[in-house]
Amino acid sequence: MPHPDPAAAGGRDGAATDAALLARIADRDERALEELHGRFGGTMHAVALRVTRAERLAEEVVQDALMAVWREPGRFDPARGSLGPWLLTLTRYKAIDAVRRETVVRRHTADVDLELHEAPDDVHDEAWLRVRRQRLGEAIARLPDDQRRALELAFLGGHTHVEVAEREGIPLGTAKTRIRTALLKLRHDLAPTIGPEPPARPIGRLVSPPGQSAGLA
Amino acid sequence: MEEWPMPESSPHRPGGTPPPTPSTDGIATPEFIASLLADGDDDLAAWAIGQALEECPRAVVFDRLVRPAMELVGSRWEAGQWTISQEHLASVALMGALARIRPGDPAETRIGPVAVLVAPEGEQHVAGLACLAQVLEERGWRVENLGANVPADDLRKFVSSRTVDLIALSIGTRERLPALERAIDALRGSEPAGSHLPIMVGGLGTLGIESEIAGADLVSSVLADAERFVGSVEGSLGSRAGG
Repeated sequence: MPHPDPAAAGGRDGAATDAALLARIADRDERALEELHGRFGGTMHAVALRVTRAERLAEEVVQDALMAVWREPGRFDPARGSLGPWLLTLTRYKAIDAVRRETVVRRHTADVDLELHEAPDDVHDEAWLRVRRQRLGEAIARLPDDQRRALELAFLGGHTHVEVAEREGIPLGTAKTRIRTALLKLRHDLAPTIGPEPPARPIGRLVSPPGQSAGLA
Repeated sequence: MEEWPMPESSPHRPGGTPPPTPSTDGIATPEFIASLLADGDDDLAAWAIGQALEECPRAVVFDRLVRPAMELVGSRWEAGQWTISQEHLASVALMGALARIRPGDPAETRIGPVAVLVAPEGEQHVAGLACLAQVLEERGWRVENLGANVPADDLRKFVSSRTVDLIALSIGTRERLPALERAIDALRGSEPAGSHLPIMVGGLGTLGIESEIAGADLVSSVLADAERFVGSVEGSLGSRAGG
């Protein structure tokens, strides 16, 4: 079945329309961006959803791809092909990036979870674990409020990133950024004292050297 | 000797009603499919091809979407935009994508008429045969796809040893024309008196030299043509079975 919109088909007329649309975007015409979304948003979303398998993430990917076009409309070269397939290829790359970021966040999550739930083998380990929990609690308390809330909702409350975003009334991307930033701060803050193995003299190592703050950088 | 009708809407015989075209909303476009294949994303390519299959017959999708996509891969390689590695990756990804969209119930095709698909000696391009195999399987045929580089004499022995209702040969380049002709000659030379094995030939290597290829009942690189020819073979098989 031929597509009702010849512009989307990438024919000669479509190429002219594509070029005109991109030229308007280059002139910062926001309505042109809306037109772009109207013409290709549905198929972009379908591709993003196929890659991410997550509705909210797919929506974020489409917005991300459209903003990339808005920022740099000159990246599209009509000599190399038509706009629709180029946008879908861009969407696919953005979606793969999004999935990769999600995986990194999940990995961080798993690491911290392991730290929190590691079972002690003996008295020495139990003491070390207690100390690490105390340090972790202190480090969490030092986080900015918005990051701490997001982290607690995700890890102590067991909420998904989408649920964190909804509870905090913030975009999904912002929720993820807060959680990830909080995790990175914790990792940085606790790295000297929370490692895979307990140190030989754990108590002595817990005292910060003079002049070195245990607070956030 | 039984005559097999030529298709009415072959590009070399204009006049037939053109089949519908896959939607070109961006997903089902050769450009996007080519991009996915060159990136080795057979999953997304299969999904995109599947979108087109919801709208159009398989042969049409292969003719108007998949083949142009692979031609685009080839032309971008020739233009130096893509590397030979990307072209090879695209070929492998295409086979992966095709495997994901394979039609039908294999149990049913085991009792169908038998088609032997083969690329003659020296020929390595088999994507067209893989597409044809799906068109046949969707119609209930049992496909014995011998793949690449089959010597003529070996093919003759293989076909002589079993019941075969149709042979399809494909060449990707014109350099394989002598090997193709040897294969056809070998098959025709081994036919029992009074019988005629339907042979169809296709592939990009046959483009423009259709009239030079003797011994075949159909020479066309258009799968929709091939499917019509298969339909006529089916009609003949049915009438023979009934009569």
